[in-house]
Amino acid sequence: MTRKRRRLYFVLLGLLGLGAGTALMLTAFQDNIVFFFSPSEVAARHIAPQQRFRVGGLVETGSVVKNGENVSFAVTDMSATLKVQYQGLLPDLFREGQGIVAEGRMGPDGIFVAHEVLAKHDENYMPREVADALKKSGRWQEGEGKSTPHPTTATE
Amino acid sequence: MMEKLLTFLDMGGYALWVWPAYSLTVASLVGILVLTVRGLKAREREFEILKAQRRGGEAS
Amino acid sequence: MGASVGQGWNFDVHRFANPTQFMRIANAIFPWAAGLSALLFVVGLPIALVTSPADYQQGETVRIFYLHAPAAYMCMMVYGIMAVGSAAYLIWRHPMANLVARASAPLGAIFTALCLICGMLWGQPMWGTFWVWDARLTSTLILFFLYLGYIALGDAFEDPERGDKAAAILALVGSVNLPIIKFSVDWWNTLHQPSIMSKKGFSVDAGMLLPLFLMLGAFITFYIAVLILRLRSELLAAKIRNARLSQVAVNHAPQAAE
Repeated sequence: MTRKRRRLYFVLLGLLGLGAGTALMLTAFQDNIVFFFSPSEVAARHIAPQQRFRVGGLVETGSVVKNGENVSFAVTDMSATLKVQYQGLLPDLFREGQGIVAEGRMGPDGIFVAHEVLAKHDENYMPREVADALKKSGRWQEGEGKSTPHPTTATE
Repeated sequence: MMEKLLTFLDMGGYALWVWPAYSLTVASLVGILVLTVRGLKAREREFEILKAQRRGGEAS
Repeated sequence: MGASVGQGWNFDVHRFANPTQFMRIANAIFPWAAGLSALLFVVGLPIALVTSPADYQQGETVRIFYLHAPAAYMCMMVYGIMAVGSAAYLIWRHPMANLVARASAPLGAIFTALCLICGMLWGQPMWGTFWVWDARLTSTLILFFLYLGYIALGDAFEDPERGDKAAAILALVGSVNLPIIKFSVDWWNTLHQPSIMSKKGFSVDAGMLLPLFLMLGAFITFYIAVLILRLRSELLAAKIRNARLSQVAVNHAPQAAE
């Protein structure tokens, strides 16, 4: 029994140590693992003007202004809003109310200049008719899923 | 009929993404199945030859 | 082997670890798994491709989901089996556990590759990019490299037992990646959407859950069926190796006597 027992404890202890080490490392590198900041975090963190970063949130309803290839819109996390300027192709899912992630830099006028805009979609899957019926009855709104970025996720 | 088939193949304009995903999946699964069966058959043959050799060796 | 209690316990484990017993059960399962897999593919593919509805947001691209999500589930499940098999091999030296892990690795690697490729083919039209280095995608790519590393390490040594042990250790060390993949979408914000499973149930319409589960069932039974074929093949390889060794011994014996 002893050798097998010893190997069992060795493997269990090894996994425990490995898990603890990994957890510590992931916590330490939290900021690098997070894919984007919410507008509130952007406001709270003093990001250097030339630093590239990503901001994520919902496209504010009524904020999209298209001018040929130039688009300007606002990204919101419901508590803070950031204006974004972008030139280029937008993904098919881009619309008002949609979750998006934009990568770029802060401009001098406080407007975020994006080089790339990606659409985020939530975990809700349903046919058109079901979505319409749910919306009509007021039981659900687009962009309401739990994937909606909230300011607490990254600061925990 | 023909029209229906074409709309199906078009996948709402996403044919370029949907069809490669399905083709690749089917191809990879068939691929590993064929490789596995072939490997098994080759080993079965090899083992039969070895067994025959051993029987021949015992007889002589 | 003194105490009778310990003997009974050992006897059961031994029976399960015995290749003949194990393969007797596996071979009985094989026709069912193979038949069920074929049936699920034949029923599931037309539902996934034709009769299921398009998504309100993603249109027809949702059909990629019926491959991507089952493949993602498989790549984690197969790795879990590989890690448990490796642990049983390292701790109790079960040869069958090691063979199951070894035979699973190529299947797991293929499911991971399919998960990644189908995800890319889905991400490009929906997100606007094939790939981003967010936590979910990066950790899944690491899983793929773990599979490749496991396969390569197992064959890297002249002594097969040393290769088996090194690969088993790698499989165990890599298992810390599994919870990272699973919870990456909850722990950090990612471009990838969260899980469709939550305490509230599935966030997927019933008409879309059906092809999802049919394809998942098809993948699981496919894995079981091909795994059994690969186990037969691995056991035959071991028999051939032994036969070769004894043949060499027989051929050398008379010469040594002369």
